[in-house]
Amino acid sequence: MTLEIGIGVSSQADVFAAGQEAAEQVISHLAGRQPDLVLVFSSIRFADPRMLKAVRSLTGSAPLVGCSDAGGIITSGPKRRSVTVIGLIAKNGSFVTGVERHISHQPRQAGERLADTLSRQASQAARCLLVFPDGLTVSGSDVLEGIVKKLGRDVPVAGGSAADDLYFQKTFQFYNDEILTDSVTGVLLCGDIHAGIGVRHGWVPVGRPRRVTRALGHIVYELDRRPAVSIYEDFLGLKREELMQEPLGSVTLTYPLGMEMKGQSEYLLRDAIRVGRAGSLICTGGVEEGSEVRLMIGGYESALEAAQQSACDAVERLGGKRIVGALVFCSVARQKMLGSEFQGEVDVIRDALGGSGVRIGGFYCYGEVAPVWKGTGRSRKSFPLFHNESVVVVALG
Amino acid sequence: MRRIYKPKSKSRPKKKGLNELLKAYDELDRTAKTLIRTDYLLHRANERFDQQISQLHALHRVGSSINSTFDLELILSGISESMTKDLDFEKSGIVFLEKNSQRPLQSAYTGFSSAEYRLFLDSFAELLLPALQQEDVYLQTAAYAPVAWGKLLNSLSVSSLLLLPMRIKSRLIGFIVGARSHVTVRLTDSERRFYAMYASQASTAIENARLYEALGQANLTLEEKVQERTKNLVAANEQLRELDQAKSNFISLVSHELRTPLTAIKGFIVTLFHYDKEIPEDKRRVYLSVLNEETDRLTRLINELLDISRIESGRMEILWRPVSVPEVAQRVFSTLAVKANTVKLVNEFSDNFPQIVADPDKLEQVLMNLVGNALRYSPPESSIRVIGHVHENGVIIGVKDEGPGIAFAELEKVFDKFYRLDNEANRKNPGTGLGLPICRALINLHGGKIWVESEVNQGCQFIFTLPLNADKLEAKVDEASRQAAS
Repeated sequence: MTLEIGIGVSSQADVFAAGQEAAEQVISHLAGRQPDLVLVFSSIRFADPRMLKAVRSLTGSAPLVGCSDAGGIITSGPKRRSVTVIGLIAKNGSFVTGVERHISHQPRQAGERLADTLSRQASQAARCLLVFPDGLTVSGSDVLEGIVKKLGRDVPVAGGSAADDLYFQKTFQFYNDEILTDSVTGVLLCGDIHAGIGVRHGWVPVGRPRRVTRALGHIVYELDRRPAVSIYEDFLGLKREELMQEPLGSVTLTYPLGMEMKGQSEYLLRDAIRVGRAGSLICTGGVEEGSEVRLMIGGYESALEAAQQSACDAVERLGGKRIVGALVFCSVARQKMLGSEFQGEVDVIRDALGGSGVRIGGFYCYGEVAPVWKGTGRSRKSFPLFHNESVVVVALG
Repeated sequence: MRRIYKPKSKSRPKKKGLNELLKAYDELDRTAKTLIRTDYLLHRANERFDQQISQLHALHRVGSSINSTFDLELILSGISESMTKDLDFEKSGIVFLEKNSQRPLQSAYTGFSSAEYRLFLDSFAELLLPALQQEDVYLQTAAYAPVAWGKLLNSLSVSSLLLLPMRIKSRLIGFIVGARSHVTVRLTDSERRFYAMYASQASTAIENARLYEALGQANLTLEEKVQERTKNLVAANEQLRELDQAKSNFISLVSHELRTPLTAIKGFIVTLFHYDKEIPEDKRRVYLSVLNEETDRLTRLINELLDISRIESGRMEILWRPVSVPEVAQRVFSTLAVKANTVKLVNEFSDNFPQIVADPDKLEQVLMNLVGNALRYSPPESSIRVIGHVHENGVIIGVKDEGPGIAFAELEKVFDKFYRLDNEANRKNPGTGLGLPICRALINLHGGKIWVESEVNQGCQFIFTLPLNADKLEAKVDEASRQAAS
């Protein structure tokens, strides 16, 4: 077995003790050995240098990347208000980590720089890139665009945007001992490591489409020549002031905007997190001007079906390799939509991956990164996309 | 004509179809709106429901952890940890106030550094206490906070701070604090209700622990009190038993003392009654004189018993007068002159011997008793001296004889009621055994002391002190003048 995975979780009151406890579980999963790579996802309460110090006191010099979340995911199910630590050992593989800071003023360039640094450091063939950008300061699409520009489309990219327990105020990125914000961290999986990636959401469109008459990057100004926010005013029967008072995320997370993608069975979803000036909608990912968007609605059953399908796709794309574990990057919107039943989603993913023998680790995020496939047969090509409301399953073998 | 109509007839149904389609599309859109609105309301209701469930869970968790113990320290740290674990506060604490001064007494915290926590508590009087008195759930957020609060939040590196006062019957017993680096602008009514419930759960647990502790303390005090009372009762019982014993002894002694002269009297009277003629004149005289002596003794005994009873019941009155002790001694000597026979009675008072205030009759009784006793033990030709000196704030008087003296072991016993030295003099001429106890009581009533110094075969000296007691007379004069004035 070339790849091994260990997962630990803790929700102790003391952040240092929590970091230690989670890391101890990882080490014991790895039969007492220190991992080659450490991924850390935690609730904002644990975004504290003491937590990282505690983890690294046990995992040693292994590179560490991660971010704050809106809930952790482990094999047994979702876990809120916790710190999740994932440790990986690759016998014939290697991990290259990197970080880009202050990304909000030039997100594309930051993506490019990150991809550049990582690919230049890689001594083995790159198999998959995992990225964890700030989920609030930048459009995930922009960062991803930069990454793809440098990395090309052959290396699949997956990951999730940092979250902050649904406060929508400030997220954190973890890089070795550092707690950062407005940054993106990434890790390139190289050598004998195989990753199969699935991404689905299960949301369906309702109502007639609206034309995006004015948009720039991740800001949608007008739909059908009216202020973009009016789509929510119309559909929800809420006044603009009401929409502005609450974090818009808590409304739009339930009803995102959807864009049809050619050759894809599902729409590409976009969450609006803030109402901007003159009723514009500020999204976490890019929306193209001239495209058509529809309001989307999720349902319990279709969401679980999508999760199951995402896991099945991931296993299928692993191409017959034995699965040893999986990373799950799940939109916080799904947690919100499923309510008290959100445990069910991890259950169907685990079942689809082959039961509790497969270790699962991940987190609830503000945006997901995963490739979608275009075409059939030999001409079938993957291209990475920034998603919302989706569940990304990365099967590792 | 056909040509003209053709396009028309063709385009009409097309346009009609398109219009119908558009109409259906709009209807679909309206249906979608209704659907979304219903779904949204359902979601909101579901969210509130979920939130309440998770709040109940949090309440249950904190309740089960803090109600499982009466240890105040464990309760405080349990609440502080629950604030962090269940309610997501990065920094939290709980402070228990001192009952009277309302100052922080005991506390526990999580997430704060010790310096931050000290800084937080330092602001108690200025910021925290007024806030706690103001609202049941008090929220401060950095962006909207007054300057002083803004400074505090800044130095604690947090953006929002929540204070939850804990009250028992409207009295502030402490408070809970929770702080986050993320901003909480306002709280919903349901959140406020929840926090108030949370604080009340905490106050109840704390109050229970305190009551339990107080109960334990009260139990201990009660036990101590019971033990003390029991001890007192046992002592009182013992005293009562002793008193009862003393009473029985006294009664048996008194009956014995009364019977002795009565037996003698009865014997002589019976003899005189039956053998009146046969008894020669000289013997009859002896009998009669014995009878006389025994009745005297009986009378003395009864008088002394009455004295003792008066003294012990506090009914003995002292009539304060200016008294010249040498004169009293002289009177005693005159009375006893015949009885003294060859024994010399000597007055030895110092020149500056002062006049004192005392009851002359009682003083005479004391001296009569002491000199009388001395006479009984004095060998012929010996002397008895009454010596008087000035002493401290009064006088000291000794009655000294040259008799056989008293053994050391018996020195104090001579002042016990009915105690009599077992010697020949006593067997020949028994006293009542009440003289010395009466003397001691009378001297004590005068504010003086009496004791005896003696060695066997070296004679003995009864010594007593008497204060001048001048104030007694003044008080009496004052009272008399007051009475006269009124």
